[in-house]
Amino acid sequence: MKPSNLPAPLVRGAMTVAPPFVLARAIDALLRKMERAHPRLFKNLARLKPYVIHVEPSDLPHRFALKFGGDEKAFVRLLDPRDETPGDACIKGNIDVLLNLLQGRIDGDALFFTRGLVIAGDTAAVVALRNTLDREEIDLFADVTSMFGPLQKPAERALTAIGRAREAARHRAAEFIDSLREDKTADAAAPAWVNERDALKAELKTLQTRIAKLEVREKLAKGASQDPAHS
Amino acid sequence: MTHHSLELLSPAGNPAALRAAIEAGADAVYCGFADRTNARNYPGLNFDVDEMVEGVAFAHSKGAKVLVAINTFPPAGEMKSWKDAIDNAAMAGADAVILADIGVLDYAANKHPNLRRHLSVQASAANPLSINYYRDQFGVKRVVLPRILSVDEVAHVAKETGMEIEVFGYGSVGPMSEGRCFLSSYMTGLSPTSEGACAPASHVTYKEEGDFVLSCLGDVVLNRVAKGEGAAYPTPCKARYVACGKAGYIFEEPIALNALDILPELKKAGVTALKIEGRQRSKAYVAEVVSAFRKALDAVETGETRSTDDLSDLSEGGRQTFGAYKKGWR
Repeated sequence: MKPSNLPAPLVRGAMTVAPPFVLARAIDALLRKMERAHPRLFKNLARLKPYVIHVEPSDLPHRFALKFGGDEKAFVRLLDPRDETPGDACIKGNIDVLLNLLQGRIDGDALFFTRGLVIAGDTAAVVALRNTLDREEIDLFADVTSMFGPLQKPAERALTAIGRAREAARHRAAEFIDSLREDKTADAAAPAWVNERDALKAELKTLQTRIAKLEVREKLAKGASQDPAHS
Repeated sequence: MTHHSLELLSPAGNPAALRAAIEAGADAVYCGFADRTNARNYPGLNFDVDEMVEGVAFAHSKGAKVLVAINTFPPAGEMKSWKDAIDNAAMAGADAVILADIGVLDYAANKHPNLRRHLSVQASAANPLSINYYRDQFGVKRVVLPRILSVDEVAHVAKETGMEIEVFGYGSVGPMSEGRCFLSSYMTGLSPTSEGACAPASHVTYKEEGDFVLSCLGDVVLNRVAKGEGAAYPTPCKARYVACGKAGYIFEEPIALNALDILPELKKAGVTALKIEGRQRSKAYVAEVVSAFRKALDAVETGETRSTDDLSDLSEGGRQTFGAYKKGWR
């Protein structure tokens, strides 16, 4: 079964409002938990050259320093906002992207191609970290909920429920916004033919897109000599 | 295991990717040891000997094969790593080794005659005379063709050599003849064919400049990518050069090869195995691309007509091409 996701807004909210000393302790506890759950990961990190990588979630008010390699145990430190000591490299992206990357659920190169992830500094440090993390099957949901000890199951249920509630709320919000748009069109007291025209225009656009795609397929099926990517 | 006419060969940069590939439907995986004996030598990537032994055992338990790439060219006086890699691949029970250097091929043929030998794309063998030489001299069973041949040319090679033909189905595409490109060595001082990387991570840097990102190799700025613009790998062949006052991709644009929609043509041309590029990519990439190709190959076998999965999100520059298979620029 595919592991559940930690609800990103919950993580973002908790990490935003938590006082720094609480956040620092939570990170320590999670790191200790991960060390027990993934001893091979920590062994592989220790084998690397020594590096310090700054991780800067673009939607959080915090920065973190990840130190690993040089035969020492890897650790994560919450950076003081006044601390301007540079790391060997820096990784920037939103917290959802960073958590998914940590768990190997999205491809780092694909994020780079679309600039969903920005790196700076020593690229070898980032590549070494990315490749070492990707060797491991990390499930943060399991790691976080297991920190609740005997309350792991209730914690799993609660986090899953929060995730579902968030999805439902997002769905309802989308529906509400759509209904407002529809109401707005109606409020304009436009004649019925205007609404019908707009609806037909939208439908036509969709059909044109579908026709274009089918034409490309037809062309490919006929073994057209012209490569569409180079045309 | 279900018999498939076209073997689906997946990259595996680490043991987790090997498992992901096989679970997603790969018939075989190719991987390398964690040193410069293979053409994807990046920090934290590849397998140590124990991991290779475990990976081969896992693959065989699932009816899949493991091919070990030992496809770089040893510098004079430094043969040991390459000899060790071949000995270790044989010891691990690998189904084949993928080789390029004739000395390494000779060593493997003499020391491990029963270990299947495939000719790497790095050998740049692209015509029947050349390929038949490797077949006759070193007992090579399969050739991996460079990404410079059209489908008709692939068919010609298959017919004239009678060998197993492996071609690339998806992934990074380069305009250079593989194994013969030294362009990056002018910027890094390292040979891509001996060190196993044409853009060594140690020489790559990215710099933010407002809404732009500069990608550099050594001291050379290769590209300046705007927000929302598809980025490329930091290699000289994908760099944007200024010529006649205009910046453009002179050698190759940021784009990925994708042969999903021409699988029946490749099969008809006599292709034995379809290779997905990207041992440097993540297990998430491996799972998604292998799954898309598994579905498409199964559809080819059953004659079913179906839409192929969209892989543009995983593609370099967010764009895809048939590359040389169609040679539309001619």
